[in-house]
This record gives sequence, C-alpha cells and structure tokens, in this order.
Amino acid sequence: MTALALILIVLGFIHFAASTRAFYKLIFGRGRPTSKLRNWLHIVGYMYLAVALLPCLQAWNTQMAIVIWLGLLHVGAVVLTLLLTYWPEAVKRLWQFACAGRLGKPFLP
Amino acid sequence: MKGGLRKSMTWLHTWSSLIVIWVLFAVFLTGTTAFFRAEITHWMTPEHHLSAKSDTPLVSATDYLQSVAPFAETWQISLPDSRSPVLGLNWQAEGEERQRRRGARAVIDPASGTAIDDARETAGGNFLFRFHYELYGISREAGRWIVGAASMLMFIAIISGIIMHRKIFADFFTFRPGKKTASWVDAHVVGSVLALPFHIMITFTGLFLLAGTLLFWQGGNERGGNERGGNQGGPQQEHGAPERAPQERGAREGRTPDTAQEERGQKQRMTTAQEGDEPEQTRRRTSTEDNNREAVAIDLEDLYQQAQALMGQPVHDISIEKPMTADASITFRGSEKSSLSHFRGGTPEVTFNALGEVTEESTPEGAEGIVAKVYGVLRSLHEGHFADTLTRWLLFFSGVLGTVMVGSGTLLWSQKRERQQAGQRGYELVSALNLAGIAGMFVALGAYFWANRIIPAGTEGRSDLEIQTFLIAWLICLLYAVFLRKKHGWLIQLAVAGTLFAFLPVLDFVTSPAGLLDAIAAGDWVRISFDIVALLTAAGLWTAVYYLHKKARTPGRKNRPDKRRQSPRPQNKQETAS
Amino acid sequence: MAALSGRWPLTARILTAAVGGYALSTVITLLLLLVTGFEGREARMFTSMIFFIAYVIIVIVAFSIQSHKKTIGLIAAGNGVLWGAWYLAGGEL
Repeated sequence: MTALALILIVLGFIHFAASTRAFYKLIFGRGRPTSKLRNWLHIVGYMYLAVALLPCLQAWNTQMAIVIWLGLLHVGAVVLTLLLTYWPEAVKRLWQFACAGRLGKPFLP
Repeated sequence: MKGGLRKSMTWLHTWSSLIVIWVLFAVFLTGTTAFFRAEITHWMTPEHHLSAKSDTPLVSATDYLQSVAPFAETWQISLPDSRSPVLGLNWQAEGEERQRRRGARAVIDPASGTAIDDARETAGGNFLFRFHYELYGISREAGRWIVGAASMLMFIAIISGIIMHRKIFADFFTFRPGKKTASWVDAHVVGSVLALPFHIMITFTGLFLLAGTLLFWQGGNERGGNERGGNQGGPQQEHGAPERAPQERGAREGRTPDTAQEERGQKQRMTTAQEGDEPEQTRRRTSTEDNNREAVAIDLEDLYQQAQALMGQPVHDISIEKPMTADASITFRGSEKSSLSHFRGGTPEVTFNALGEVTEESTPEGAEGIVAKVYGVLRSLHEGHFADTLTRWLLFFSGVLGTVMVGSGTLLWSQKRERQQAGQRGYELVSALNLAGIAGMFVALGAYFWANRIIPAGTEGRSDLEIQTFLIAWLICLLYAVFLRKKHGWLIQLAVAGTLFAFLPVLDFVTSPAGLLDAIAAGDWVRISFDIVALLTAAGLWTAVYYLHKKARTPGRKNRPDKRRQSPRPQNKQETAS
Repeated sequence: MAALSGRWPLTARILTAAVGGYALSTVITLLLLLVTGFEGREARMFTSMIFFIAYVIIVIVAFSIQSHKKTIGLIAAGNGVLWGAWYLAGGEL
C-alpha cells in the first residue's frame, strides 16, 4: 500500500515537473508549456496525489493515513528530483506508460 | 515595492538564519536522530542485545515478578515492541513509601525470562533528545532560550524564504549538481522547499513546545513545577491534571531503560495518582496479610487475548494492582492512539478483575475543543510518540532534509562569497564555524557512539563520560577549524567522521555479547538498522571526501558532479538508529 | 526597503522588531485571550500558538516596510495603543 501510494505520488509530481520550463523539454521534446497545458497537467497531477490517499486510507485510520500521505509527498518529491537529475530516461518512460496527463496533450496547444 | 520586498526578504532570510545557523544544525542533527532515541538507546545498551523474541513474554514477565515481588502492591509490564525488544518491569512493594525515587524495576529478556541487570549506564538516545532543545552544560533555562531564539529566527527565515523565492514552483524539482554555487542553491532548495510542510510544522511546534520558557509572562504553571526540580522531563513530559492512564502512558513513552531523570519523573507521577489510596491499603494489608495473600491464579494470557480482541489493537503495557490476589485488577493498554489530538495518553484501555470479567473499558475520544485539538495534533506531530515504524522513518527522512537545508544554507553563503571575502574576518569566522559545526558535529556524534562501546560497562559515571567524549571531540574539531582549517580541514574532519561511522557496525558486533548472526536470529532489527544507517552515513561522508579530494587535485575545475547531493557536505542520512 | 544602509537606523529597526515585536505579540495574544475567554490549559495552548504566529508576522512586516522610522514608529504606536487598551480592559500581566 505504501509503495503504491508512493508511486502514485511520484507519477503525480511528474505532471507538475512536466509543466515547468526546466523539464518540459525532457517530456515533450521541443517547445514550452502553455498555460492551458500547465493547468491541465496541474489538475491531473493533483488528482494523482489525491488518489494516492486511497491506499493510505486502506491501510491506516484517517489521521494516520493523512500523516503518512504527507510524509510520502516529501519522499516522492525528493525521489523525483533525484530521478530527474540522475535518471531522466526513467522519468520519460514513466510518463509514457503511466501518466494520464499525456492523454490530454494532443488536444492542447 | 516588489523588488524592494524580495530584497528585504532576502536580507532577512540570510541574516536571521546565518547568526544561529550552527545552533540550528546541531538542533536538527540531534533532533532528527532523536526520533529514534529509544532505538539508539537500545543499540547503546549491548547487554540488552541478547534478548530474543518470545511468543510468551507474559509468562516470562509474571514468572519473574512472582519470584521477585509476589507481595507487591502493583506490577507494571511493558511489552517488547518495534522500538525495544526487552521486557520492562516495574513494581511497587507493599507499603512502600511513595517518594520521588526510582521504583523497583527490571529489564527482562523475554525469551529466557532472566533479568538483565548489568546493563551499562548510558544516556543513550536521550542525550541527543535533550540536547536538541536544551543543549548541554548550561542551565536548562539558558539552553531553551538559545534553542528557542534560534527556532524563532528559523521560523522567520522560513517565511522570508518563501516570500523571497519568486519561482518557488518553477524550481521545484531542479537539482543541478556540478555547478559550484548553483549546486548548493539547489541542495538548499531541495532540502527546504520539498519538505516545506514538515519544516513549518516542526519549527512552529518546536516553538510552542518551548513556550513555557520563552513566554515568561505566562503565569501560573498548573503543571506542577515542570520547569524545575525533580520532575524534569522537558516539554515532552509536561502533564496537567494527573490521570493515571496518561501518566503511565507518558511513563512508557518517555522511558528508555536507562534514563534516571525520566524514571524519577514517572515514578513521581504514578505516585501522585496512587497517593490517595495508599495509606488505606497499607492498613488493610498489614492487618489481613495472611488472608489476602492467597495466590489466585489468573490466566493473564487469556485476558491478554481478550483485551486485544476488545481493543482491536496490540497491547502495549499492562498494570496489575494487587497481583495474584482476589482483589486483583488488571489493566491492558493499547498501543495506538485514538486520535492525534492526544499527545499523551489517548490509547484504549481494558480492565479486568480477578475473575476475568471486564470492569472497565475506555476508548478516549479526541481532545475537546478546537484549541486542544489543534495543539494536540501539532504537538503529536513534533514529538512523534504516535508514530509507527513507517511514520518514524518518514519523520526522520524529513528531518534529514531539514539538516541538509541548514547545512547547505550556510555552505551556500560562504561559497558565494569565497572569492571576494576570503581573508575577511566575517567570512573566515563563518568558514571555521561551518567546518566545526557541520563536519565537527558528525565527528562528535561518531565519537559518542564509539565511547559507548569503548568505555567499560562498569565504569562509574560512564554516561557522563560518553557525553563528555561527544563534547571534547567537537571541541577538538572546533580548535582545528579555527587554527588549521586551511590544511585540508574539511577533508580530514569528514574522513575522521566517515571512518568512525564506517566501523560502527564492526564495533557493534565486536563489543556486544550478541554477534551479527545472533542479532539476525533474534530479529533485532532495531540494532541492525542502526548499523545500516551508520554505514549509509559513512558512505555519504566518504563520498564527500572523495569529491573534495578530486576537486583539490584539479584546481580551477569547478565541476563537482556528485552522487548524492553535494560535495563537502555530508548529509543524507545520519546514523541514528532505529 | 531601499537600501539597508546606515548602521544605527538598521540596528534600531532590528531591536524594535525583536523587542517591540515581542511586546506587541504579547499584548495581541493577551487581548485575543480576553476576547475568546479561554482559560487554564486551553488558554496556555492558545497563547503558545498564537504568540508565535503573531510574532513572525510582525517581524516580517517590520522588515518589509521601506523606512526605518516608519517601522519603529508603527511598532511603538502599536504597543502604546494595544497596551493601553489592555489596561483599560482591566488586564494585568
């Protein structure tokens, strides 16, 4: 459960990373993020983060679940930062295979 | 005004943190380890390492208690848990004077049922815990003022840091190692921004935990002399209206086998609660001693199972009044709090009488009132008493990030000014303090753990000696930093720290009655985790040494690509145990 | 603030923010206690939380204002007014 939550969190954060100028290129190739795309990615990102609460709630009572979820957010952010620095290809793969935000891209500038 | 605001906030951020940054680093380093203080204390008490897991700890406990204190007034049993594998027993003998002194207690190996009575005297993780809010060697008031002031400055630094960081989200995941100043900035950002919720929480809660000292105008201490004298225990052990359950819970949580002060504090609390009853019971006892002392067999194991089933969670500790008599009352306390708003107590309880009937059941509701709820939850988050293993590691992780944040902050400051200011007094002072405050702290920590194993177990006052080793090691690093730092100061201190930590596991298994295989067989993960974290810390330190060395050999090259995060800064994990 | 020039004005601002800010936070907390009517332990919890929030806000604001004089004046005035109100409302430390 913990692992699942963490993975969802990392995937959610990937969406946020993809919306930043620094990492847009990694995910999308050329160009820059537009604000529409950014909004879309943020929404999907937040949804991933929210969904990550579910496995936590499965395994713990509400209060503990929230605490653990918050703690995992910290871990996930660091994990993604390290991945982006040292293993960006992995991030790209994760984007391609597991990030729902991708589905919106063709419809957006 | 925007430009003006950011500039002032940058100024405020830099200076409010810089003047106390080494205190903050020490607080963060020791505070982070303190999340695992029970575990550290276990590592530092090798005599406990022989304890093996048992399926029937209750049998061991009651057998021992029956042999040692069959006529006791009360028995208390603390079951082994994920933080400590030993059984803790306490008892108050019949007619014993309730005073502020250590009550009778023993630590038992659950598997063999024998008492471990030669455990070395050590402050263990509690030294680190107390250090992080009181420092050491100065009066408690002074220590708390210093830490409190530093925390307030940190709070200011956090808020001003947020305001000044205009692209806080754009830079979120950016880490660019290998670029001199930018790497430090990134490390600093990673440490601070990515763990911002934690930092805000821990600083704010740290502040209000010290409010007793810092807000000197707050009169009327309901808490019975918490700030002075015998009932010392620091913020973690303040107590209001004496209720038995929270007190004993506090006792349980506060206790690690070897802390005299906290023990005394707990004894006093338990005493106060039972004071009312005592005289009467004594009278009754002595007059009908023979009659009431018929041993009544009580199937503790069965009651234990029932209690667990009723509470729906594992039992954490047990107290038995008038054990082995017909008047016995057995209370089982659970291990999980019903709500975070209870920073003390808050666990369910079931009480049985000698006939095995449930006489009392309680599941505490959350604290009442929004103020108490908010306060309780926040305080719980800081103190982490509620935390299970995962949560504890998560808190620890965030603490490490905080330590990275503080350390990289000061290194960033000097890196930025290296060229222009080298040679100037302020800069040199900061550089020396950086070296001693960061690398030196790691050396001191390593030395503390080494002292624990090197100083013979029977030595008088050895826990003070261990602490003195910590301080002396740090002092040596400081002197070195002041006078010799240009001679590879960082390299040497980091290498020393790295060596100390790298050999901690070896030291552990050589100087403990239980070796590596024994530890694995006994499932002593607390101890093994400590050793693993020590190795990870050593790895971080040595990585830093390696890159420093590389950089020294290729002058002019600014690149320092690095595995973890930075070069000269050894951060990532600190030992601590778990 | 334009440039944080001038040693003494800056020092004055720092001291004012630190000490004056502490006093201001104290009186704000006390007044809020009056308003909310909390007592005993609840009061203590409330105080310990509110005080530091007030203090950090005051310090941040104290360093965002452009002029040193204005900052010092504001904090002094704030203290004067609020402590006056406190004593008028019958409060004692």
